[in-house]
Amino acid sequence: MRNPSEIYYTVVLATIFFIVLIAVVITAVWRYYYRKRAHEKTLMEFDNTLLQSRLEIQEETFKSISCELHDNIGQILTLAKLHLNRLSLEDTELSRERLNGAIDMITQTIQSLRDVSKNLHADTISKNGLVPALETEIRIIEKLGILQPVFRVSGPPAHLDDNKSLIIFRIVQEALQNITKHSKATMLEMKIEYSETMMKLTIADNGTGFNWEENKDKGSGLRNMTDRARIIGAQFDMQAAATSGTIITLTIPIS
Amino acid sequence: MTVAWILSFIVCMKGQRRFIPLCIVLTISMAEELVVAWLYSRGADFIWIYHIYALFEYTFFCIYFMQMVSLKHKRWIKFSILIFILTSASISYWYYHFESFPGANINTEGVFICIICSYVLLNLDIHLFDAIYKHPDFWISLGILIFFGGTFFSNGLFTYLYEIDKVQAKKLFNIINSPLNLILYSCFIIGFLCAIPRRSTIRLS
Repeated sequence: MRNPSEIYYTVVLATIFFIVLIAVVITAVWRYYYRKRAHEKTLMEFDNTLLQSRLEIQEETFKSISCELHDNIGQILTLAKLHLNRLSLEDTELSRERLNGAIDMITQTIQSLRDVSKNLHADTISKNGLVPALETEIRIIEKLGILQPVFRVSGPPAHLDDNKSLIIFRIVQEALQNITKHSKATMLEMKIEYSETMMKLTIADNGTGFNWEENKDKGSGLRNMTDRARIIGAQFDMQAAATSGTIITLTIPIS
Repeated sequence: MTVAWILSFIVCMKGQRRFIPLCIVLTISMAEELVVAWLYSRGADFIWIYHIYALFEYTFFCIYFMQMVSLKHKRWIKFSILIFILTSASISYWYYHFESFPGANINTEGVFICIICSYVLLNLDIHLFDAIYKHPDFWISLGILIFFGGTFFSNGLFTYLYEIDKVQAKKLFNIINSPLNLILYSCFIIGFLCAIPRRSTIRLS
């Protein structure tokens, strides 16, 4: 006959087993709904961020169009009008020169209008992809003439979800705005590195930099960028010293 | 068991290939029960079948659960298969000599399976189904958990009781095992029914 203590151990273990089993089932059900609610909350947050990003991008586009119309197209057309006003029937040679000048100006305006029209398309990011959209942003900065931007892409490009791309674009737009407005930088480098599992986006400038601790509670821009990065599952890092410029790194997992 | 077995086939044929390990377990179970009944009717020794069956059962349950866990935990489960096969074979050979009911083997299997089931239950995929009761893995894990938790007591004591009174031991074993088997296969049936894709159901990946 076997040792009777075997009975004792079996009964104790079986009782513990059943208690644990009940606890596991209750916890599993509770945890399932808890995770589900958290997931739904994240989805809602994502939708809100997406909507906000869309509106902000739209606002930025309108601002840039308004600026383009006022500073560039408006000026050129005014100049063309002046040329045409000063046409004289007596001096045909001078008039021809002025007329040719006006034609050149109008041609230039047509090109500018085409560029503006391109920017007006709301689905540029989904249509052309994130990289061309970022390239356009860099070109706009270059046009401003405040600083010298450099744009580099390395590695095989991976496809990113349109909504994610839109939020990334908005983060970059926000960062570029901060650099052009506050950094007093003369050089800007934007780098995209693709790997199998992630996309690393780095924006570095040689500006005045800033004190991260002092500024992190001031504006909503930095908070927006970190919040948006969190929502798309990306990691947002900022290295900012008071004198040596700023380096922003955004690491986005590719699923 | 037969209904669960047929449903497992239907589910696999409907494209839910992840249930193939369960389908294999149920096929082996059916074959095991038939062989045991045949050997029993001939008065031959059949206990050795349970020793071998436990190895297959654990391996295929593990293969099924491995599909729901992370890569790190997959490695642990693979390792546990090896540990269980070695332990179970050693117990069968040196302790039971393939002659007594493998209570310790099944209880070892039960402990491992219950740990894996608990992990799976606590980490069920929330994206596939609105409610937990529509989740096939919930029902399958729950059934296995209740079965192994419930039979822990009878498996542990069976050999001891069998030595005291063979008839009463078998009776007690059947009293405990029959409803637990019923619960296990009912859970399997519900799980398989939940897994059959319906045209009206929109599945989010």
